[in-house]
Formats: sequence, C-alpha cells, structure tokens
Amino acid sequence: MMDIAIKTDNLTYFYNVDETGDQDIPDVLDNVSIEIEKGTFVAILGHNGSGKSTLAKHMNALLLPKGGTVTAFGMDTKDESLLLEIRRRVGMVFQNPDNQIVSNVVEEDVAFAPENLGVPSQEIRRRVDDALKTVGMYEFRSHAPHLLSGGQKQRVAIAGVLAMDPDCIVFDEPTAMLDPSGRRDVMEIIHKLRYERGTTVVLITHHMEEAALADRVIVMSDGHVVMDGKPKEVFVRVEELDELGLTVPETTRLLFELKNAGVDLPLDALSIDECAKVLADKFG
Amino acid sequence: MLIMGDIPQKRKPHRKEKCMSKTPILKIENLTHVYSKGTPFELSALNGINLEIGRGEVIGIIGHTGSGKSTLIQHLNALIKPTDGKIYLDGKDINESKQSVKEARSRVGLVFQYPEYQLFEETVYKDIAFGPKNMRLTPDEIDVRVRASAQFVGIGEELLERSPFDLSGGQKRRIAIAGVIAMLPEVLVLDEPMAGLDPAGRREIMENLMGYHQETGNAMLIVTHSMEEAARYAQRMIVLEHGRVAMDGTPEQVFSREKELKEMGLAVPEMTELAEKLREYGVPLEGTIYTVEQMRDALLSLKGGLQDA
Repeated sequence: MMDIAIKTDNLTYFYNVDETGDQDIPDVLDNVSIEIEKGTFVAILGHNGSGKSTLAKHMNALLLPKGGTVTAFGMDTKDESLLLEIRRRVGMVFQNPDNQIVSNVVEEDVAFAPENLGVPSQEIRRRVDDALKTVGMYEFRSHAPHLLSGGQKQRVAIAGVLAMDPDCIVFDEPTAMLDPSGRRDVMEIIHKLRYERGTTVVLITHHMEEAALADRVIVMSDGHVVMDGKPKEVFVRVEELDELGLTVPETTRLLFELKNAGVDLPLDALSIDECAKVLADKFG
Repeated sequence: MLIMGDIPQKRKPHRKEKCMSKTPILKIENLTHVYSKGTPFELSALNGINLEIGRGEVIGIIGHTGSGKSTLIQHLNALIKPTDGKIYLDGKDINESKQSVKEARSRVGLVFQYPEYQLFEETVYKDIAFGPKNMRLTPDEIDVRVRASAQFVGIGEELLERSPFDLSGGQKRRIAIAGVIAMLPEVLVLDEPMAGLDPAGRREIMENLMGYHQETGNAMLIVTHSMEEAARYAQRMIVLEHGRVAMDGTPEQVFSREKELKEMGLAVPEMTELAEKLREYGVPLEGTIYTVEQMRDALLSLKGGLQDA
C-alpha cells in the first residue's frame, strides 16, 4: 500500500449529457482500475478520444470520479479538505506552454505556486533556483517568458511544477507542440526526474519512441485499459496496436516485417542500438 | 460523387496542362525579412531566399524553431511583406497592388498551426463557406465547393449543420482545412497540419490532403517537424536554417547529408540512423535508407545474396 502513488479503483467518468438529453453517450472511462507505483515512469498511450487525458486529470483531482475512487498517495481525491495537498504532491504539465505561464519574468513564474502555498521566501528562492537548474533554464531566470521558444516555455512550465516539490508529475502530451529539439529536452528532464529525484512520472503521449523509454506502458481504448506491461511486452503486439489506430516504433515495425518475410528475429529489440545488434548478428 | 474537377472555374487549366506549364506557380526572389527593423530587437528572419515552386509539386519544409519557416510561409500570400525581395505568383509580383494582394490571398491558401482554434461560425457548413463567400462566388458554386471540400477531408454530410464546437479536435482540424481547400487555392500551404493528432489521425489527414492534391494537381507545401512523414509524401524537401535555404532536393538527397542535418539539431529518420549503425557493424547496406520498407528490402536482398552464394 505504501508504495503506490496513484490508484484508481473502478474509475468511471462521463462528460455531461448534451442539451438534446441523449443519455446513450458512452462512458469516457469505464471501470478503470490501475495502480502506479512510486518512483516509476509510466507512459499512457491511446488514440484521440480513448480517455487517456480524462484519466490523467483524475490523478490530481482536476476531475472527480463519477463512479469508483481515485487515491493519490493514499488520499481520496473526493475529499475536499485534501485538495490542496493532493495538488501539491501531484503536479500537472499540459500540452500548450502558453496556457501555463502567468508572469512576465521567468523566475517569478516559477515562484508563483510556492508563493501561493505560503512557502517561506528563502525556501522559495532555493526551490526556484533548483527547479530552473534542473530544466536547464537558470540563465534565463530574468527573461520574459513570451520571448522564449515553445520548448523553453515548456521547460519553464515544468520548473513551475517542480517548485511545488511534488512527488508525482503527470505530463499530458507535453511535447505535442514542440520541435524535435524541444521534445528531446523535455524527455531528458523526465529521465532526470525519474532517475535522479525519484519522482513518479506519468506521461500521456502519442509518440511511441517516448513511450518506449518508460518503465511501463498502459494502452487505453474506448475508456478501457487494453494493454499494460513493459514497453517490450506491449510493442511486440504490433497487429493489435495497428488495429487500435496506434503504431509501434519503427525499429519494432522493421523487425515485424522481416519476421513476416521469414527471418527469425526477436521483436523486442526496441532501441536503435539493440535493433542494430540483433540485425548485425543476422545480416553482418 | 462530387469532385473538385467538376467545378467550373476561371483560370484553372486542366491538370495535365498545368504540369506541363513551364512557369513556376511561385517564384521567390532574394526574399529577406527583418523584424522590428531599426530597434534594439531587430531580428533578421529570412536572408535572401531564392526558390521556385512548380505547379503540382508536393514539398516538405523542414527546419527547427526559429529557422524562418513560419516567416517564409506568411509571405506566400502577402500576410507579411518582404523587407527586401519579391514573390511572384504565376509570374506576377503579389505585393504590386491591393488587387494582387487580394488575388494572392485566394490563390495561395494558408492553413495555420492548430487551425481548429480559428473556427467561429455556428455551423460547419458556414465555416467552410466563409472563404468562397468572400470570393464572391454564386450560392450554387459555394454549395458545390463546401460539399466537395468537406468530402475531401472526410467530413460527412450529416455533420454540415452541426456546430463545429461540438466536434472532436480531429474533426475541427479537418473542417478548418476544408475551409481553405474550398477556395481552391493553386498553392496550399499547411503549417504542421498533423500536430497533436494520434498516429491514425495523422495518416488520415495526410491521405486526405494527398487525395486533394491528386484530384486537383495543385501544389502543396507542408511545414513539418517529422522527417519521416515529409519523406513519405513529398517529392522535394527544403531545409531552412538561420533564414537561408540549407538544403533543397529529393528526400534521398537530403537524408544522404545525415551529419549536417544532425548538426542543425534536426531529427534524422530512425531508419537512417539505424542504417548508419549497421554499416558500423559491417553490414554492407547501399544507398540512402529512410523508410522501414527500404530497410526491409535492403536487408532481405542481402540475405538473398548470402543464400545464393
């Protein structure tokens, strides 16, 4: 029990019925039960409308279950008296960095949340500097956020969440609006949080290469968890993922096609290095 | 079935005729753009760009943030004016007069990033009809164009009277694209049309766009961060760096310069990277490889060779 960060128990959710009174709209989340262990990096995949963002928003009580329960570090998200503590311990980073920045100076923006939490000012200074260094934006601390690139803004938004000193951060498609170098930066930060700080990371993404870096991949479809396992276990299910409108990393696709052509190869050589080694053995 | 080819229109020659025509549809000559000129914030975004865009070409435009991609495409329909240099549409300077600017706005269609945020009408139909209406077409012509454009982007008739705001993000994106397609632009320019969509959604949008391209033969410029996708659909790729054209050629030509691309901070296709690793391991792969199919075939032909020996 103690080592579970987020737990959903038969979580069910639907958005309000429209004015036509149509009651037949399907549940966005239908009895979802998952446990996310502390200190792990979990990627959630799923097509648009699969319910993955809705699931993420339950993790820090941005949405409340219409059925079942969600607990964050043992705290029931429905308990209003715990709301502030839940939000402090489970931070959220969204797709669009422009919607997450509130101040005219980078360091003030990062200090915004701890100031509101009533953290002593010396401690705020320490946290802000530390957060900005972690995301590699310390030298931009006195810049105006709106003049930064999308990738830099997203790093500032992440620093703002880090300054709350959370134990878990939920990233909802944080790289969707970024260019390749911005994406790389965000993924490096996630890696650092997971391995250096021991932060629990939940990453919602459409990028299979990003999910391949996680400890665990959960695949959602139509409000259900349809796959759950290590990246190597999930991505070998090429045909099922195709049917779900998802895809697999190109390395897996290549191995799959070669296998179909009669070459005996393992499908789980996910990284380019692993894939190259496996292929060099066969074809070198 | 309604197709765009059925629509009677002025100055729109038949597709084949178009492809044979020698004048480029767009010619960009020594285009330079400096933002906030004469202030401490002066920033030179484009430095002497020269490009010719042929009728019927599909081109991928690549470059990292700040390379000048957005500044370049906003010049193509006179949304911003060059600091220096000229843009010719069908041989005519687009910034010559008010009339030429207006013409460029309808003949060069621009689809911005996240265009779904720009929907504003009460119904899908009205939103798509906005562009053609401004072109002063007859109601009948507008109707044909709206229905045909919706069909091109995979929006069914049953959605036309719905409010665009009730639809999913992917559907809204399609409607926004249909609104630009409905003006039948001879050059369709799209800034990251697939951003934020899931893999199936990305594929569908690209297939819709390629269908439109094949039907009309109109040129298409696609700004993208995805090298793989650019290579899959475009015959030509233009790489921008520091406001200059750093590379311009077929995907093969561009990806053969892997090291330079990496130095620019661009992501090389995974298969190109894998090919390099395999060569290091002594696997004798030939040519430029950037798709899974190319890699599969190259490896299988090696294996065939081994078995024959």
